[in-house]
Amino acid sequence: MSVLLSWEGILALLLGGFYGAVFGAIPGLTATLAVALFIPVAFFLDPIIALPAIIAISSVAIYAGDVGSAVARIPGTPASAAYLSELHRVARKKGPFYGLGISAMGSAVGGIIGTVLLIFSATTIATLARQFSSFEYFWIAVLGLAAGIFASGGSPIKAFVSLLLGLLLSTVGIDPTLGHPRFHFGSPDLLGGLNYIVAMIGLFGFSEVLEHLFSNKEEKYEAPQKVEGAARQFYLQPLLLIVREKWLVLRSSILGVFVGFLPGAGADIGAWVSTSFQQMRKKEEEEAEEDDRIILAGTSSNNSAWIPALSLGLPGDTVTAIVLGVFLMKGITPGPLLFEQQPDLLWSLYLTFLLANLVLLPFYGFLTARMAAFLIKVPFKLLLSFITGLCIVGAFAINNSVFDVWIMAGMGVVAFLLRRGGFPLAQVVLGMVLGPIMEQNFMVSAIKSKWDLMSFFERPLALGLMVGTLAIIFLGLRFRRRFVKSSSNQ
Amino acid sequence: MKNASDGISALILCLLGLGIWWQSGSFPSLEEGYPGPSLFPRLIAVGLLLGGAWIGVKSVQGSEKITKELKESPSLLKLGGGVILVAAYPILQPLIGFMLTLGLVCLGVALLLGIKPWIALVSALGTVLFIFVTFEMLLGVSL
Repeated sequence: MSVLLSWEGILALLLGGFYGAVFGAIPGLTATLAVALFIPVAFFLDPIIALPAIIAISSVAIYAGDVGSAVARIPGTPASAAYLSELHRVARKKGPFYGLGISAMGSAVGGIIGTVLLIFSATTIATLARQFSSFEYFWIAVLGLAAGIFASGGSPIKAFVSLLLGLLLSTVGIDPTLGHPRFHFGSPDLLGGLNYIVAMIGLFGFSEVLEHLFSNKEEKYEAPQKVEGAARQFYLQPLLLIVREKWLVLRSSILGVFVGFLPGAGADIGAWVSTSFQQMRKKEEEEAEEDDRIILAGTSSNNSAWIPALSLGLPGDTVTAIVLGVFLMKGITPGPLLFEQQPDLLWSLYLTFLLANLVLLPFYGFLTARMAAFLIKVPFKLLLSFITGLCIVGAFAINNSVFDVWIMAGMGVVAFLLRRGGFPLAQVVLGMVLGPIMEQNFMVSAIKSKWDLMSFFERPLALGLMVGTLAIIFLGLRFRRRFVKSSSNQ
Repeated sequence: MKNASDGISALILCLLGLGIWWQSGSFPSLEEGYPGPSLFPRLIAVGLLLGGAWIGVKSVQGSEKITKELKESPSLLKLGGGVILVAAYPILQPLIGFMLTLGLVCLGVALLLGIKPWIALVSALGTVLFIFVTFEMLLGVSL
């Protein structure tokens, strides 16, 4: 059990957490970039140092991505885009310590629940998930998109259009199934497709700058309350909220774990599905706490989702893919065989995850909230000039390509127009992430079944997922109708 | 029309849908006439046309909430200035280098935002210095 938890391992865990916290907290830098830049370092490290470090970096950087959302409306991961507006609002109105406290504590509790569930049910769920074929993956993507429509809380038709725009952007470049180039307009830079991180920087970061340039507003936000008892706001109040909303946290964490078990789904869809469920259950009379609950729903599922992917050896998202890559580099093959061949290592991995969630997230979470509290005090216009610089460099640094700066600027303009028209932005990112998964699995399934579309409904698991999708649409429409009715009665 | 903003959105969405449908026509089909790489873009085009039509109808009926009112004094000139400054970065960067280009862009954006010139200058210098230290020196990202 102590394979990874030697003193070197614990030191690596602490330093990795610090690196992840600082990196993830800077708007424009992402968890993906944090783990990617660690690869060359990991190459030269011993496994007992490299593995705890990469686990700590990814766990803390995924949470720290919320700092960008809180301060500058730039989400660090597609998962944090699911509750971006709510977190930004809470951080501005109730203070960054409280907003990020919900995020850190939610992530920590979700991660712990995820790990415990993994310990008790990994083998069973891994067996179930191994039966998934392209038909099920297609339906998983459709389910994620259906959840995204109702996650916005606004007009479903506008959320649907935003999703379609995201799906459209995902078709740029080489077709994932047949290899035909699409919508590249003769530019070799577009053949590789649009990077969704670059798009996210433009959609959320640069569009905020454009919005302020256009509207000439003196100060858009009300100043946050004076921070008194930062530790109380960061630890105690969010923990009380978690105790009050224990069923929400449990439900979101379980959703995160189950969605995380599905390769290709990962943390992002887990957070989106949980947030969407919470949006549907929105209670008009408890509006004041609704934002807090939505953040809690998203964060308690985003950190529990990628852990189970280790048990299958198939990554759910880019961060997990890089983490698994480091595992392989160190001679450890994640997947079902890990349970049989290296139970000691598996147990020490569980313990590392628990430590990362129990100690690192609360500790470094507070540190990053302090950074956010400083940044949030800076006059917003001054921050916008800084954000412009980070947007440019962040977009450039992903692929070392100046062309991506144009993509980022273009996405900023598109996002500005969408915001003006009342279209939600986060759904564009969801469409970009899920588009290739949906298209590829649809085409593979269709070709496999010789275009017999009935085959999409024949497998029991696929049918179950389709029913789940229909249930989300039905419940979403029903709850929305009730919400609109109660709003108009008041 | 009770909501002009939605009416314009509807028109743009329909035009976009038609454009995608037309552009997808040049993609090849599979053997035996099955749809190939054009299938998904065309489904998206249909979705955009339907979505645009729905929003258009609702804007005429006035049942969708009016989305964003311009209570402020909007400045298209500043907006355009911001876009041009950032779009000029890839052109200027190879000519005058990363630090100077980024500094100029940040300074320009700060001035457009109405920040006092000396504060804008200090802020631009600070941004460039922070980015240089974080990316180039600590992370080894070549700028």
